[in-house]
Amino acid sequence: MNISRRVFLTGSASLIVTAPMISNAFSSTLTKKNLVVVMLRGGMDGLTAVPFIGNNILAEARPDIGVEKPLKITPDFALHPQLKTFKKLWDKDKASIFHATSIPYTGRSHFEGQYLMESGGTKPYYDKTGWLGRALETGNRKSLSISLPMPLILRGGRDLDNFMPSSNKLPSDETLKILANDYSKDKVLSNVLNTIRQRPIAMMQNSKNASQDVKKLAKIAGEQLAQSDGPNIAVFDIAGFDTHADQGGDNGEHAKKLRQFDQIISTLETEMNSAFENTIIVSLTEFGRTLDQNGGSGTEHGYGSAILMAGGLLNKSKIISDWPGLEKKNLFEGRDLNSSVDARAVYASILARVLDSDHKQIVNNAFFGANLPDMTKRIFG
Amino acid sequence: MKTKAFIRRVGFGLKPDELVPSNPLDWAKDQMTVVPKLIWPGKLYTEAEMLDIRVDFGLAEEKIQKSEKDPSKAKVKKRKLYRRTGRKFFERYELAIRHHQAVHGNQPVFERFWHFWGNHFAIVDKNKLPDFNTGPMQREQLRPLMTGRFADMVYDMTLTWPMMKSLDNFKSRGPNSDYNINRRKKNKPEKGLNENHGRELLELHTVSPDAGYTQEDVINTAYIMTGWGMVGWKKGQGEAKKIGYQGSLHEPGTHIVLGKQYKSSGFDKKTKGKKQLRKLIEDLCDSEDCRNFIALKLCRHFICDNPSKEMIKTVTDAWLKSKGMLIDIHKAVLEAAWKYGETEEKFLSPETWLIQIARMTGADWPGDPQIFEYDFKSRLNYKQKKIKWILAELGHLPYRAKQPNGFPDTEAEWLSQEYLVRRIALVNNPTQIGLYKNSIPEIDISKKMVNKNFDDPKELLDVLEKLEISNEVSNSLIAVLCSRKVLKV
Repeated sequence: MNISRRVFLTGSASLIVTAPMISNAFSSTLTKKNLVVVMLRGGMDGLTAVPFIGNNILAEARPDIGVEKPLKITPDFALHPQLKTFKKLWDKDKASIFHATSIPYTGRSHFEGQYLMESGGTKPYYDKTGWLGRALETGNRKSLSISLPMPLILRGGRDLDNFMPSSNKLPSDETLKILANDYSKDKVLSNVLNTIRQRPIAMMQNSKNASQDVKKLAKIAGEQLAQSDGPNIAVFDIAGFDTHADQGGDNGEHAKKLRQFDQIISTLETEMNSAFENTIIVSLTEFGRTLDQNGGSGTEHGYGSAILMAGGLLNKSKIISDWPGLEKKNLFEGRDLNSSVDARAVYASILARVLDSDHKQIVNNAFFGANLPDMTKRIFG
Repeated sequence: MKTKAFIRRVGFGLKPDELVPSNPLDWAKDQMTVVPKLIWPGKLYTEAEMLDIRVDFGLAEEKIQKSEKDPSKAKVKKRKLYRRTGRKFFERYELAIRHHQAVHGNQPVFERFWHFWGNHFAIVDKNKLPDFNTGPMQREQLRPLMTGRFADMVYDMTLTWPMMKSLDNFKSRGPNSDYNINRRKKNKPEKGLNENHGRELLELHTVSPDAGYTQEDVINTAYIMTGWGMVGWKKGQGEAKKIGYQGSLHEPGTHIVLGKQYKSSGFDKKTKGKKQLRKLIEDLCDSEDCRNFIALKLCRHFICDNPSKEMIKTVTDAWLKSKGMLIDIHKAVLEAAWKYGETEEKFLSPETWLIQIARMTGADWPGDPQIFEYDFKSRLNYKQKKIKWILAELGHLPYRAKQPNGFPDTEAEWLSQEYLVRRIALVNNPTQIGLYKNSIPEIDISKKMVNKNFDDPKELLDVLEKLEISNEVSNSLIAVLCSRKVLKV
């Protein structure tokens, strides 16, 4: 029996679906599991999303942009008040935080950092494929996506397709055939057009409501993920976490963005219904931000941040961390929350769980065989 | 390179009635020496006027928010305000000016370089900057800088209002500036440094991370930039409009960036330290890392995704020889394209492709400038609105970069199923781009375009001939405008 799965990505402007076809007797006995990766561009502040309340260091470092009404979850940690759905799921043992973690990059450049958070490598602008794409390359997978660009994180997956609702209409296949002839001498263009021509009719039609609102895209994503033969991986892409000025506290710029993240979770939970039980949503960012607030009531580029995880695949809500502390001597270069675990280890363990793969194989395929400890027990235990 | 391919590679192709230049390299190079006047016949709003409008809008909007508690009444008031201030009009107007110039102007190669630099110094989509300020700034400030020195361009672009606003430098204050010393005396919390602009000056605008600068270098660059920002703020008058230097905010002392010292010269407190930024930018622009980085970006834009060492060297040699004069640098890019471009292919960005197909077909794009005359009372009509909508649909609104590194410039970033679908779907309804079904038959437009713009038109003409035989001439525009040879030059 064949199981067809799909992977897909959505963003403030994009939603990608890939549909891997797995022809594997073993996989047919397994429940379809879903992974949603939410990319938070600009440097998500782990200390705003999940503030440390065990002492006064954070509050004193940020007199103007502190979180004033944190949602306390442990004696030491709290959640940002905009993470309402996340808190609700925490109370149901369906949300966890991996704190003080980062990809192995300390250069503090957005563009190098974003490249690496997607490529999964250690050299900026070097690898041409992404860790999620490479993880999906194994198996006989056919892919479909909904978005404008094909994000680096998914590149390397075979036969990728992408989709976004548009109000313009494609011509008939007869017309596309003319272009197919023309493109036959160009492998890339030819592949791209062939995938377009094989789309289901629903995707060939124009849409009157070509909205790019995060909630609406999350709704499309949720509907697709919920289907047993639908996609099983989604990636969202939210920009705007680079709050050098007017970061805000309970409200304001960073809060607004965290709220979007929370809206994705709440929409997915509603749309996916019981399929949410077999789903994990996970955040991804290029770096965290400085402990101290800066001259513009914002924060600067830092290092360690937090990975927020939610969904039914989790068994117990917990803060997972080798917490380095916020005392000056414990900060990275005296200014940033440190990272005690390579974030890629977290993603590798999650991938292994969702794809029912061997941890070592995932590390080899997706992360170039890097030395990444297995975090499965810490996350799912 | 062959003549016509070169004209498409570095320009926007030839208009239906345009003469084929006998010496295309000279034709292109000659365009770089003089900044062309904007041929837009309508009013060109100055940057200062647009700042006035922006501030007026900001104040009026704030007033509505404060005084009108009834949401439906507030909505009506806001709509009126939007129309009165052209809140939704000006970006479309600027796009029309930009496209009108590229499609109908006589120095298309210059316009390509203008678009390149606009993206190099990208102003991010925030704080209503695309709505009021980015376009006018690029017209008024960036264009004239393109025949001067690169270092002057960097300096002046650093100190534009939209750049200061988008990268937050106006909020940055030296930790030991007079300002903060006073605050400390009064027991008020200090307001410290903002690294945002300093980092991007190094990473994006000049030397790139290849220079190997450290966090200390970033901080020292930010120190040097302290004091620069908006000046003359007065309570109740909205945002300050003038860019200037306030010595009281500047971090005193000598700052070291990439091993070079920048001393705080001057005696007058108001201007002490002011010259540091100029010196720093001169040094950055005079470095090998900067030359290599900018040359790479230029070659990537005008020749191919992975430029060779020879291509880059052509540009850096001209840079060294001319001491960073942009006319010479631009000409060297064109020479490199001419010499090495033949065997390369470049996938065009959505906006460049759109302008190119409009120019080559003689389309009525972006439409008669008269339709963009606006009374600041009415709802915008379809013809006024469509340019922004179409560019958004193609994924390339030039004044709305999401991040300060601007839009990407490679095939991997621009070629996806959905991006291609949008190009094909656009040409599927050619009226949208001003190719009207009742004017010239599509097959004739297509043939003329191919004959005019291809050194070897046979392949595409064969396609068109087949369409004629099989009675499918209605597909002729898609067949050529979305063909491999038009998408990739």
